[in-house]
Amino acid sequence: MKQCSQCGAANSDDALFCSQCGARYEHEYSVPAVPEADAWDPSRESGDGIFSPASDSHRQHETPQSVYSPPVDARQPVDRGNSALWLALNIAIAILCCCTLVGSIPAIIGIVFAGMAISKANAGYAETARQYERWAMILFFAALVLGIVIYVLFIATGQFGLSNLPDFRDYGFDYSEWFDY
Amino acid sequence: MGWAAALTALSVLTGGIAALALGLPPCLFHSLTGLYCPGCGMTRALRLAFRGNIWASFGMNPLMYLIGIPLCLWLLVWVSRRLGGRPAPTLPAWAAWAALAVLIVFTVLRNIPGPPFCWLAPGPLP
Repeated sequence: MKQCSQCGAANSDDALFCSQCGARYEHEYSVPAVPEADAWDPSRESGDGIFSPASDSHRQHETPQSVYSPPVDARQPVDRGNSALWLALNIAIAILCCCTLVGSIPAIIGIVFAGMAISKANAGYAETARQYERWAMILFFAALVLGIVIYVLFIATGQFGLSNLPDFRDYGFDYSEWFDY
Repeated sequence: MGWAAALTALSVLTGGIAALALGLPPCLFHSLTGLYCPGCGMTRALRLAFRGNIWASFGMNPLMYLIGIPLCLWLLVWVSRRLGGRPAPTLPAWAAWAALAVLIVFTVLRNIPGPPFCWLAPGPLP
């Protein structure tokens, strides 16, 4: 049983309105707060209508209450600057590291993660956005390191013929026709 | 995050110096598959650009001018704004999907033999 705050009458626990005076019970999750500029202002009404809300005593119970607390991961303002940085860097690496055959694969997956991070951040899901952003960062560095390692190995074996590493020119790949050296 | 940008700039710079010192580096992807990747021709494009032949440079890799240079400028703005303590610039989420689509479509088109698609493929240095 719960008591009405207006007339003191007892009502059942799931009652929305008082059975005696009709006053409305506060919800556990209330209506979202209306911005001040958009809020309906009774004083601006002419008051000559049949229904006059200003005189309606029930209206006072409908004032917004911020009882409802959203989950941690919903509707938080998120800094999208870092996600955008990882997106840009992943695009750059996807183009720069493509000649290493596999170097741009992490970067392409990184582009997808950065895009999802920005969408999640736009939707207000801060924690998910941060996780995607972290993956975009990891994939960027993976692509960078992979690209550099493969490239260095390739140039080293091609240019200097390092001992036991394969020289692709031995397999008939003569790239000197495209490059002037 | 400035350190990440600095690291990238450093590695690109090192790669550039290495490429200058060793001559034009070969492309593993092209050597093995015979196909052109989206970045193919960028070194030749840069070399032609430094020689002043911008039109031929554009023909080697249009993506470098259409995506690469705006991207570099955006990164410079990002670093300068972060270092200045102002909020970093953002990119819309569709930029990621657009970049993916452009990369894939460009790679497919430039590997189709015959005009007009082969104009997107890099050629030998003039």
